[in-house]
Amino acid sequence: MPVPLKHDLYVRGSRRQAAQQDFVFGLRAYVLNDMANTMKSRFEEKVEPDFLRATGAAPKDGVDVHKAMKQDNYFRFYSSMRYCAQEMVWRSVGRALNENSDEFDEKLAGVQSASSAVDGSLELDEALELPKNVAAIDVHLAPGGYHTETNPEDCAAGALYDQGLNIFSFGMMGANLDDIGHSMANYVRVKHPDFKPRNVLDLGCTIGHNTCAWATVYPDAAVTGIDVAAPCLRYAHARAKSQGVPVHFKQMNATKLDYPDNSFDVVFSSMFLHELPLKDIKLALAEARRVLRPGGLMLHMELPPNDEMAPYDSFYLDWDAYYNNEPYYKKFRDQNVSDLCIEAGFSDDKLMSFITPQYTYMSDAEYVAAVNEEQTFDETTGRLAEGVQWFGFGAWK
Amino acid sequence: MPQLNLDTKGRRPHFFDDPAIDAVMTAMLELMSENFALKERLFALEHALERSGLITAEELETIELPEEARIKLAGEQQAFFQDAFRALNADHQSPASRQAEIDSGK
Repeated sequence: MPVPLKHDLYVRGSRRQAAQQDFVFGLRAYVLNDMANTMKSRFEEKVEPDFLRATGAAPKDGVDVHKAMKQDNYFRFYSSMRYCAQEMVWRSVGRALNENSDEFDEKLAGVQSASSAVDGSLELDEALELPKNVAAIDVHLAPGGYHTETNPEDCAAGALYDQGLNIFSFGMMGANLDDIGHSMANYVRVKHPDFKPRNVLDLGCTIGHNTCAWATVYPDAAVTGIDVAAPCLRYAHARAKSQGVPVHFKQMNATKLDYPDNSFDVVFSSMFLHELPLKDIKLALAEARRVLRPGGLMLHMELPPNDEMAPYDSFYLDWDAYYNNEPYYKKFRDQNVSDLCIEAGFSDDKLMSFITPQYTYMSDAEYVAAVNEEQTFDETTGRLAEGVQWFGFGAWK
Repeated sequence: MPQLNLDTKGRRPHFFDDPAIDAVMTAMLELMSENFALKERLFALEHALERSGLITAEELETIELPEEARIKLAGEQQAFFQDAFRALNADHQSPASRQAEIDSGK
């Protein structure tokens, strides 16, 4: 059952709407845990042996596995249900927001007018041109995507994303949807205790849920989140204010940062690069390096690369690339992330990559013990299901 | 807050050889969602009724709805059909619907 979000913009909706969201939450958990496990068993017990008999070789990569699985009826049921569940995430939340828009407006006005001790800000750039990868498609099947707005105060797309993510993640991204941000920032804190960033930049921050985690882990740092989507940034600003977290939000494209060289100690992103065309990924990495100070850290939480995964696990993670309106996702996962960092100008002896358990589901002491054990790529890496672990990569400048 | 569009842009994929099966899957899941919402409400209602002593299980079996409630229920039934069967026509767009999209700049 979804837990109400811990801020003043949360709209529960009617009993019926809440029950329908609860249904989708449970459906996602069933499909991505139970059905996913059954599907893997079918692959190992039937699909893979059949493939071997027919071709004389085991599937060599995720594409081979996908071709074989497309003939399997269980994969078809899994995919059909997962696709429908994805649509239903947005429909159930969108309907609740539409039918309770006055309640949302009141809550938003309350947050915006409240006096606050925290020093956050919002800066929009009306002249910013939306990149095609954002404007042309409804990413994650979310109607209207991140960017659609009908007036200069509109933040509905942010509300839809926040409350939709709460259903989508079926409790796997933390009670405040910020587990990724906490897991990454705390990994840096634990592994590099002498590194004390003065400022942090979060690229493609959407509603700032993971941006705020950095401000919590490093309270002395000035934290800024940028995104191209104004409705998300308006919402992010109100959300952070409601939670008493000082974050600055700016409308900006990560491929063309409006900051001087050597401006930040940390440049971070989460689940961002895989939504970009490869040429934009390369631009964003080069820009990240440019604005980093010497000794600063570029860190991206991402889906694990295909070259680190078994063929079945590659296939499993690439489902979104084919069926969830994420056309650049597979191209990113096919890259060697070390090569990308080096191409962006980082030295090969300054690269880092790691796998971390989820921070917000254990005590700090348990987390410290866990990250000090070696983690290896396996089926839990980046896969939203019980036991998920996050992958991070980047480089020191 | 402006009203959110609930329909995703772009062509819907199909996973079965016959796309009709995908449409039926959509209808089935909408039906299950509605069924769950009803079940949750019934649990809450029956719990509240039993706790307050207002009605017995036997009386629930025979209660008649007033006309106003029947009309409201009929309206909800039609909206339910719209939701559940929205995918049946997803492989076709009428010229009028396309013209409306062009006119609106989509």
